[in-house]
Amino acid sequence: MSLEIERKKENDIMILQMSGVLDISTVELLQNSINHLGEIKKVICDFENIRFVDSTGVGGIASVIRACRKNEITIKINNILPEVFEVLDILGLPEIFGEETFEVKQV
Amino acid sequence: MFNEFRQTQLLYRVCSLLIKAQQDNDEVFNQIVALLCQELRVTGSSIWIATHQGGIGQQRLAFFQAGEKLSYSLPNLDYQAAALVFEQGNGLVLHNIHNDENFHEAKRNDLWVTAYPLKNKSELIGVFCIWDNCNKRTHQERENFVSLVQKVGSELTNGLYNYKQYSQANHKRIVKELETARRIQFDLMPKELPVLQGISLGVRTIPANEVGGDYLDIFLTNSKHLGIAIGDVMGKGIPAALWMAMTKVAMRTAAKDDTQPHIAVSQVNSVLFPDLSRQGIFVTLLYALYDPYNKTLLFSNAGHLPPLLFRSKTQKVEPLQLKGAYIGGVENKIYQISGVRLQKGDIVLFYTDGLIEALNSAQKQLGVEKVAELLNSNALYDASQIIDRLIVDLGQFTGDYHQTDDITLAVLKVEE
Repeated sequence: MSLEIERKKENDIMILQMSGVLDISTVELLQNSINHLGEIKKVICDFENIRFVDSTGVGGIASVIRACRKNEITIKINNILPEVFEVLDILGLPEIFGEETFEVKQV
Repeated sequence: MFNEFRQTQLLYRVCSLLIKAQQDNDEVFNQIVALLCQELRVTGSSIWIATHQGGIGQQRLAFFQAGEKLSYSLPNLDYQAAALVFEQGNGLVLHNIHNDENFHEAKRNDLWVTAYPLKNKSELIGVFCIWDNCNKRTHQERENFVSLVQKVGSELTNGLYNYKQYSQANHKRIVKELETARRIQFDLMPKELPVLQGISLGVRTIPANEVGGDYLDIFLTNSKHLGIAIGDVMGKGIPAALWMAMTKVAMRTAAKDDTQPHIAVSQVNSVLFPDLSRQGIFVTLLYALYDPYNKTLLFSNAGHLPPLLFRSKTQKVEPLQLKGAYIGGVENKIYQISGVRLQKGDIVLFYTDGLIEALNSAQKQLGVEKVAELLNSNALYDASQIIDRLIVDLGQFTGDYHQTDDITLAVLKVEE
């Protein structure tokens, strides 16, 4: 089980293409991925290939969102698989950080 | 090349670094090999430590190599040199490794390597290696050099011995502390279940190897209603165990005097929010209050998995849906309340994510549908038998696949 993150920069937008699982063994990679953002104004996390998120992974997502907002960077999590979104939804992430932050992949 | 004064100075610096290593700081050994490479102007250096897990083994404690590009993998060279010393117990100086049969992979005629045994009394505890380009020094210079390496080596022996003693003691202490945390946490789980006319109750916690963050509490309120609180602290280890204990205290305090579930959950959030949000940790919490007189189950949910309700009448399982952000998510949040009226034969299963996320050897999760199915097929039994059967079925699913998360279950069944 692993997590791979590919960083792509387009002007002042950083796109983080993620694949794998987001759990206690990989959550640090997610947190490190938003280091050194420099002039970046917006971060888009593409979750299309994230197959599984556990509660520590959710904690990681929450801390990344908080860190971005603290630095006035807009963050969005896109293409979330419905079964992964269910985990985020039960825990209340859309309620805490706003529905507009999360976009479910249309199947 | 190296006068007495500079030798003394170098040894002094090595020794002062070694004092630090006694505080279980293995990074110091990397600093030492880097310092030696720099001061002695050699290509590379490493320190190996003997490990005794499953026979004699060796582990590289420190490694440094100067920027010089070399055509083959050097780590292999010092591994082999150290292995020879571990095997034979004597020091090794190879002026030219080209023709040496022990170094097949390192066919180079311009490198020399010296490996020095670090012996405490007669026990070989480590090996100190240095390698360099042959052409830099004459044969005689290399001989002198070896005597300096021996002096450094005897200092390293003491340092390594102390480090080993300390890290073994430290490791034992940490293991012991984690065991204690595990036991304290286990003691916080319900031991004796309340007895209440008309229902059966069952609970079970299957701890994973690590200290986890599952939380369960079952108690009678002042007016003899049954309170069931279940939750999960994000993360593992001592912090999770501490937060689990804090949640239990906050929940018990909030629930006494028959507080309505949503008021109690809101109060737990208000109490724990400041510290949780500062530390970036959260707790899921579901609190249900069962009134045995009119068979109503009221509940409020802060981010926890919805309990499953088996209806005896329809023979169907449905989740008790009610959304709410986890504890530590929204300051001063007022949580919602929901409720169902239960009937004879109805069963409610409360559980943590370890159950539905349990994996088998094919990396497939048990899943909530399968749990619902198992609940349905075991519905004739009483609560504690249902738990037993769920555990057996779970075991059949996971096989001997290593479980990484705690699994906690609680079952309430209306018997009459």
